[in-house]
Amino acid sequence: MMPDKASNSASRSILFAIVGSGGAGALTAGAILLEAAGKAGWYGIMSRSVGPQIRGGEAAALVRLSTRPVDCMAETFDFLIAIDWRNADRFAAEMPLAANGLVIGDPANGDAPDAIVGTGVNQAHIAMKELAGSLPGGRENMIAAGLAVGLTGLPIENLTSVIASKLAGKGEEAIETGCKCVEIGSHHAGLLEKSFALETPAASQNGRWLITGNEAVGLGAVRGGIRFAAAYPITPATEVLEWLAPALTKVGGALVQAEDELASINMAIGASFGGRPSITATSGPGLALMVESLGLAAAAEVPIVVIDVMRGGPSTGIPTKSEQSDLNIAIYGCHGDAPHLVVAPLSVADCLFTAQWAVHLAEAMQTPAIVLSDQSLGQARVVIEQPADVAFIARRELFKDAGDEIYNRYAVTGSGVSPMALPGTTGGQYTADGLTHTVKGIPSSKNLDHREQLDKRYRKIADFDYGNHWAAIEHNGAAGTHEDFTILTWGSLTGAAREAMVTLADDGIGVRLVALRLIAPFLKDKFLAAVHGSQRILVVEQTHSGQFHQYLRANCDLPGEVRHFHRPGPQLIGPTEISTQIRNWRRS
Amino acid sequence: MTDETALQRVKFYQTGTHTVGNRLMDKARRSVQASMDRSNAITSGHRACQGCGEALGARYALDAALRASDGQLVAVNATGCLEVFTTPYPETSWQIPWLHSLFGNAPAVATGVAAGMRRKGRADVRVVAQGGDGGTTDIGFGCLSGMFERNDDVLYICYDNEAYMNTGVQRSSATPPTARTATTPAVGDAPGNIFGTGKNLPLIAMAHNIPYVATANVADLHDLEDKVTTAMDIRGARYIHIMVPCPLGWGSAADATIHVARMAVESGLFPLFEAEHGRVTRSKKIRRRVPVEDYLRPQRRFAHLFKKGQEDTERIARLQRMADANIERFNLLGERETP
Repeated sequence: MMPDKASNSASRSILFAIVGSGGAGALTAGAILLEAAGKAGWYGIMSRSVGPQIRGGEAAALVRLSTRPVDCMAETFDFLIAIDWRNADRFAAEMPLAANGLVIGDPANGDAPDAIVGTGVNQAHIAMKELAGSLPGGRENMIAAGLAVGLTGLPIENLTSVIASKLAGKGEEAIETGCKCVEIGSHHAGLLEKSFALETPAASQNGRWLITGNEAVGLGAVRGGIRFAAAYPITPATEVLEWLAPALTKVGGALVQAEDELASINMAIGASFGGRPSITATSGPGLALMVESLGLAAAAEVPIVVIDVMRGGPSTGIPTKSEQSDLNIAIYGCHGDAPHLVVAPLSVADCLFTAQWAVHLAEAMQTPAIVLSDQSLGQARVVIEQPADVAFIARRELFKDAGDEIYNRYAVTGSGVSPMALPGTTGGQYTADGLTHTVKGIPSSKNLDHREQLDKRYRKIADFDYGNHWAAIEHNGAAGTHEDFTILTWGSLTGAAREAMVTLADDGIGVRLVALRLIAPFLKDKFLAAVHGSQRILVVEQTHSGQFHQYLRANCDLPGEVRHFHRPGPQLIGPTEISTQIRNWRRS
Repeated sequence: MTDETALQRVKFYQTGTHTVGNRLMDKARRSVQASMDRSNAITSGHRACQGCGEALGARYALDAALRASDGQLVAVNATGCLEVFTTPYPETSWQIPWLHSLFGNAPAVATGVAAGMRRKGRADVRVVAQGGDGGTTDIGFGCLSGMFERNDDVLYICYDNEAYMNTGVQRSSATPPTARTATTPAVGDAPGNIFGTGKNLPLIAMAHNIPYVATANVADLHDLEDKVTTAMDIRGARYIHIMVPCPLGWGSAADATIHVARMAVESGLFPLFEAEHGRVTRSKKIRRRVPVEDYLRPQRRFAHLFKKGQEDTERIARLQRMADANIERFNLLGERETP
């Protein structure tokens, strides 16, 4: 599956937020609205703004609905529904309202705080608490969901059918109350003078999926052939292991929750040594602990896949918010020369493809592969077209008993990949070692052995045929063949870049996009061909120090004039910011 | 076990509690919290869930340590619920010098703080390190064992809520058998966490021959304070393991925290004892013994054991045997003279 071409239209999407203190049900309301929108034929993405997963603090569901597939949030909100205003100052900066935006609060909670309203925003009061209280068991978050239904034009029957399935276990009465609340909310939205109704959706061709990036990574891994996982809970990657635990059981695999990250990666190495494609999932602090073992897997040539759902760093950083700042440790973390793979999904949907591809690459090259997802992908829930099945599966080159042949585990081959004997293979006994070793795996400190093995491990990765999957190379079709700009980016920011390209195309500004899915190794020739002829290059990334920019500069000479737009998390770089960068550059 | 008809429910003011009973107690025996001019290591306004056992336990433990050290106290905190709920942006509940280390290294950081203070001639400044069960029994175990082995001058307090609550209730090596967590779902032949796992960290600490090890529980806060005070009178590595119910993770009612904690003690599943240099010196006797069901039933994480019509009597009996073994081992009914 390749992600769709840039096809988002901001004018055909709406963005809204439902906020409340933790436990008020804002996230539930957002989730059922997203699902209902999917059933109605729209697309959408929902992310959440929360503190850590213990109760209390703020919780906000940020929901974007669209008539076209969407890979990112927009930057300004059309409307905001506040079940209450507690902790509103914490998220105000994350939810700027559009100039003609609407804020709906409960009069029982007073006016919206200044930080939210700003200037020129319309305010409306709807007594959600009172309305909910009029029904036994009524809940304010369902009234809020009803308001969103009325404002967006979402067919109410889609929402009530979702409620019916979600509350099936709670009995008829609960379903009826939930649906009634939604009706009341929708009715009150109709009394407001504002509407943000979306266009009627097109019918779905193949059926749609509702999935998060963390789930998609897990699914990609299982499809790729992963049958063993060992992991340790860490925000925002925990859902990967929670999803994998039952999924692996179903396909005859297993997940072990380890006592720390050192144990989890080494369990994966052990299981892979035993012949099972293996994975672990973590976030930055966990990856830091795993680095020594990544070196072992590279040196002993044991394939493993490490999912890193990045969060703000360094140290404990911002566990619930996104950043792309693990790029350096993923590329350069290992001591010694330890070539390995670093790949990054380009959208929530692409988490599936990239994870599956990573399993295939790791197994084919017998080396560790790091998948750099991030919180904005991992914990975002999206409605997408059902992805196509792809053929990438784990295929490890194995040593088969060949009679009297002497087995050299680390034989120097043309490709650099040496057939691996699984334990129990007759004649295939060998020592797997992190010490520099001979072709047989016996520890050696000889110059020749060291050189030979380093060359071999470098070669197998550098010479591999990665096909066209190494990057998404797209053009927004404007300005004929003449290209004005090139955006260079990677990972989760690809969605924002694609959307920026669409609005720029409307203005006749031609933009090329080169978004790297394969970060390491750096495919210099292919990359230079992709950016060939670029006159103005904008490098976009979510880091403070410009890690991606430095990486590109270290590996090649970029053509033309280069500018760099970067910022650390947690505020995500959005499509309008990218398009503004380019518009301003054009004017200057 | 208990015969309901034989036991009358008698309500009386318990002289060991911190409500009215404090006034009936000798002044020196009163709780730190009963004093008007008490210190307050962790102020209110933090974001712990309703009924959080850890918030309660930590406040009593830290305040007792603060009093015992005459206000000269530094706390090191591993990553976990306590760290998260006491420091929500842009606030902090900590009224003492407080250092958030990483998840697995609080004991080592505390060792460093203690060494630094000693080197500066400020050995009067005492150091407490604290973490949850995940940070203590799993990822921080190596550093903690090192701290014990060197007998570093640190009091380590583990607040044990028996799973990784901060990240959404995944099992830890302190999760009891059969308990349901996000990673030990109640499905299959052996629903919930499996038997035979779990680290008994108090016993492991004792095996290091450190000067003082104790277990405590939020159902008896006076006992908890006493143990912290005792620990603060001693130099060297000390370990206190405090059971703190988690309404969210255990699926118990927020107002049942103390009840559940008490049932853990009264059933024998969580023995309260003290040990010096590897030997048990004292255990707190069970006041009114209850079957393990009384502890398990109020918690949804054990609900699969009590499905209507198909009670898992076999696993309940195994848990009862664990409680019985504790009662025998720690002499919790006072049947023997020596502890």
